Amino acid sequence: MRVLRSNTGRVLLCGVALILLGGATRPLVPKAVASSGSRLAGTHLGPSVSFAVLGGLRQTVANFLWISAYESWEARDLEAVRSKFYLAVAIDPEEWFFWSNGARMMAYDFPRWVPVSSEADEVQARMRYATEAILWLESATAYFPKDYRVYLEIGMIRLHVLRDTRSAAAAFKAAWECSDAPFFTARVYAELMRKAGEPEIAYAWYCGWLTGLPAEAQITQAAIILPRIREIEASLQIVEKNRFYLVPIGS
Amino acid sequence: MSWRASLHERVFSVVGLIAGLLLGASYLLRSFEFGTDPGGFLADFAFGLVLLFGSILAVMLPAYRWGSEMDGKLCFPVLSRSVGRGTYFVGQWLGLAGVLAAFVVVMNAVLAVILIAQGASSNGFASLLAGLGEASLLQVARLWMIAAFVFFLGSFARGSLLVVTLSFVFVFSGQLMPAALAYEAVPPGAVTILWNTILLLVPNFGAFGLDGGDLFVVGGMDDLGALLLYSLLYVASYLTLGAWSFSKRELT
Repeated sequence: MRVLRSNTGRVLLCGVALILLGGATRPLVPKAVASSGSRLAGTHLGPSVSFAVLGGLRQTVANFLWISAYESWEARDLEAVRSKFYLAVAIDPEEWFFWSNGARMMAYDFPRWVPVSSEADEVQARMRYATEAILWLESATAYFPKDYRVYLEIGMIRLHVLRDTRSAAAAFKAAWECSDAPFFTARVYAELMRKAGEPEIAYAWYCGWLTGLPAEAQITQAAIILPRIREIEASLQIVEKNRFYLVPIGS
Repeated sequence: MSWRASLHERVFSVVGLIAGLLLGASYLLRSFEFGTDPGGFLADFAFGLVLLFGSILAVMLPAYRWGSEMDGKLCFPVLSRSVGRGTYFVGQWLGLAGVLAAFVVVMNAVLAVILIAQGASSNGFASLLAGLGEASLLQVARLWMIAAFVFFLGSFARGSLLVVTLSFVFVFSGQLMPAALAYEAVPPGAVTILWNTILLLVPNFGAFGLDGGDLFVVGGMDDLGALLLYSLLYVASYLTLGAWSFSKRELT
């Protein structure tokens, strides 16, 4: 077989064998690994792709960038801080600290760094950077799907910077609907609805929420919630026979 | 590639240097942790060093050693005895495999000592050591695949530079493979066929990527068995093809 003596022939034959091997072994690397999990951090399509070659050193590079962003933060260099934030999360998008702290700096610090000459300018700056922070957090959902922390941060920015109680309440409700959400997210939702002038919605939420909790949580949460329910009942002038009474599960 | 040859190449000086770097980093970068996993950053850093320097060792050592043996006809005395070319080829790889395994074990042992000293084992020592054991297996599996590929390439190539260059392209491509596999927006037609064929040629090194945080999560490294089997199949295939190709090669 003269063709096998030549390099070209052997290369071609090996190439075909390796293609067949690639096809046969593909199912061994589970697709679930490619789409989620920390094993492949940063391999989502986007700017982070090129940094996947760094492997574990990605986190190191991202941390150095973050520290560098702090230096720029001290100098109030908005553009430098912003670009380093985006680069850090592009390199290591699975670090929640970057997303949450980046959003807070954008929403709370950036508006104070831009020169404003009037109250309208100040409001405009607040709105602009709060919107940027919320968009930033929304892009984090690609890496933190159904994570209550994302919606919690969005809710806080809507509440404290945009001063929009209703949309903040919606974010807290979304936070509660995520897995492992703490109880306070549900309570804050109801309180914000009360504050927004919707005591009926808050009342219905409190009653339904408390009834649906597991027995142990029901007892601890009732101590906090029942006084609030009574307050709302009083304000809504709900008569005694129509008031909410918690029936313990199993009785 | 034997232990003696590794000592001659000062491999273990490099291993010592990297381990020292890791030890130094553990003290210098203690306040450098942003994540929620205590020790996660250090583990990431160590895994990054193993990935980087392990890949360099796995490519450079066989490429230059193999090149010098072929060019200097150092293999002739061995092959003129009763040692077959296939045995010689696989034996060379086994020597390097031992060196790479030793590198990974030393690095992870240093990491274990540092993490335990810093009290970063929230789920207990046994869990941490089990996690590091799994991490070592994945790192060794990955480096053995790279080394087997370099030997496979060396069975054709007639120059170390070509082997080194192509091997690093191979390593980087394999590292980016998960992203390439996730890329679905390829227009249909000839381009798609070409793209998918290229993807089949390069193994998925990215799937062997390690996150320091995995060490502190019980069962954090799932799919270990499948990945080890994947690596084993690739190593066996590269060595079989390489040994076959080497046996057909005209040595002058």
